[in-house]
Amino acid sequence: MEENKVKENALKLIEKLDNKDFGFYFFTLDTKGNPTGGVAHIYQQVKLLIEYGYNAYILHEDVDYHGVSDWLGKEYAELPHVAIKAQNHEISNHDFIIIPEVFANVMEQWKNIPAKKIVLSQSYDYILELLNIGASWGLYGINDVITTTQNQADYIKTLFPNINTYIIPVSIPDYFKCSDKPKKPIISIVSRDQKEAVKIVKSFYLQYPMYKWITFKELRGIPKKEFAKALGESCLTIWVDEIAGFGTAPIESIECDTPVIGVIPKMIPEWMEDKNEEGSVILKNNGVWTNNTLNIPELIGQYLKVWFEDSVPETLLKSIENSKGKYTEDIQRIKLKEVFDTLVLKRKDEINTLIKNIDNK
Amino acid sequence: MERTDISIIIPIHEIDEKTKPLLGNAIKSIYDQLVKPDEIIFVIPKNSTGIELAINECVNDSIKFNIVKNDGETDFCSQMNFGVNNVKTKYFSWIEIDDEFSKIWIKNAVEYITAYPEVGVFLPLIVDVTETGAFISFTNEAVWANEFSEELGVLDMNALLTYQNFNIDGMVMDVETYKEFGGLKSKMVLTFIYEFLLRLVHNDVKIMSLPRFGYKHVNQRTGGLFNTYKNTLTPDETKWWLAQAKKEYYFNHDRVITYNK
Repeated sequence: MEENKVKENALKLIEKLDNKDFGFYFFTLDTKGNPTGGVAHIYQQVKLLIEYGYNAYILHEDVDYHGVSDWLGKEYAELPHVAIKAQNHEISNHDFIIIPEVFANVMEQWKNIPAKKIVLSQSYDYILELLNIGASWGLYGINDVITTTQNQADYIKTLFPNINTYIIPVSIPDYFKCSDKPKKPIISIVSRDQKEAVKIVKSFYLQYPMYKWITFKELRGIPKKEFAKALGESCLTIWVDEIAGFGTAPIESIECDTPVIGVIPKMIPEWMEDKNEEGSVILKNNGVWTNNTLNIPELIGQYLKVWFEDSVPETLLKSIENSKGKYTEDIQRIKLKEVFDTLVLKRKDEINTLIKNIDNK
Repeated sequence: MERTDISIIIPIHEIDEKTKPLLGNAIKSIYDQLVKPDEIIFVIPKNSTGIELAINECVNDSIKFNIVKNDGETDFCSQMNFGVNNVKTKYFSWIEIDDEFSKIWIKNAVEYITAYPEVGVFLPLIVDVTETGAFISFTNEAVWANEFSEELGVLDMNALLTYQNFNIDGMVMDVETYKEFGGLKSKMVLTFIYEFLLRLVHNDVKIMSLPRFGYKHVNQRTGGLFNTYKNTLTPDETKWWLAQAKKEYYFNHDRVITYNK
């Protein structure tokens, strides 16, 4: 009798999955209006899933969630949102909850929720932040993780060998493009740590007083389209983010034809690395890469000299050109559909296996 | 070869053994341009001796050149005005006999003219050097400093009234605009460049500093015009001419001015 009930529920579940009568709930932190790449990536996924006919939602904690209209615009701000504390929306076993890697505490709290849970890992460095010693995602009933690069997927496998990894690459919107006017002697700085940016600017002015008229723009907390415009106008971007998982800002800068001087992250981004004939990893020439923030002012000075002389090395410009167009929204869209369709199919397989087991008894 | 619609004027007052090789370098810097100007116009005094010979030693047929002889006043401003009157292209640039263009200057000027058709004057980033070639400073760079002027890269009245260190060496300018607003004033001593820029801005001519090292300027060369001023004018006279420039820019024509303590 009990088994019949389970089978009946399982069949209903299959039907819901077949009819797309379920939701993908993306748990999202309220950044209080501060732009962050990670949250933008989540909104982009929700938008694309809706375009594919799925029900997708931004799941946030409080009712007075600030939203993203200030920096991502109306198109994203008006996507469906669900506030957990409003308690007016039931998440069931046919739904999927996507939880960012940093929220290991949330994964633990929600381990008994019947919905299918998936981790979204954009920054490998956050994985262990709130994870208790001895705990693992498997312990919280999570067996699937979506990440942005193969390098991150490989790293996650070293931590959780049994996890299934899926890759949805970051996409760069087409408004990241070169300005239609010549570039200006403005240097954009994108850094995880604001103090690092300030130090670079101060040391540059001390080392190169003749360039004290050069303008530095720290691109922090500005709307995405303004960010893109600033990158397009600048003659150079400085990027310091040693724990970057994907390294979106340099690729955005490359799309704007703006060369980047950057610190090589601990995990080398896939767009930065190449393999030589022996198969060893080498760095591409699509930017000026260093492993030391201390020499960035000197590299800026050297770059400005060649820029003012209109003699930026051809090898750098060619390599930048070759790195463009690799992370389009079309590529992301195709990959996203593939991954989420697979996750739904896998869920159906799990339920079908359950039904078979009941039938075989 | 594509036309750039830019001529380069070289006003020459006199040539001696010291300046002759410098003139050779200045002319060479024109022939070395990655994108060539349409014409070089040498302005020389009508009764000069030796200048034409010195020029002919340095020129070739790869760029059209014209030596025009001025039988009027041969001070710097008059030579420039005479030169501009002989330009047949839409734009002109100019170079002092002891200076050099960087080889990218005309190429970049053409790009910026296309990108900013509303701009009337393009100033190069000038690298000021000593007679031995040692770096001293940049000129025309200040407009790129944050909040120096209302529009980044563009010289405006507020900026000009508070800071005078701008130079028109190597500038690329529309010929008709130059003529319309009266050209350089030979009656203005010392501050004729400053007065000229004030006058253009006052008449809504957009002046942009092009962020490229376009011009190498030998600062205060012994025997040079500004070096002579520096050695002959008192600080009070210098201040007076500066103040005078701020009065004269309202007038497009060159008025008689007499220094009065």
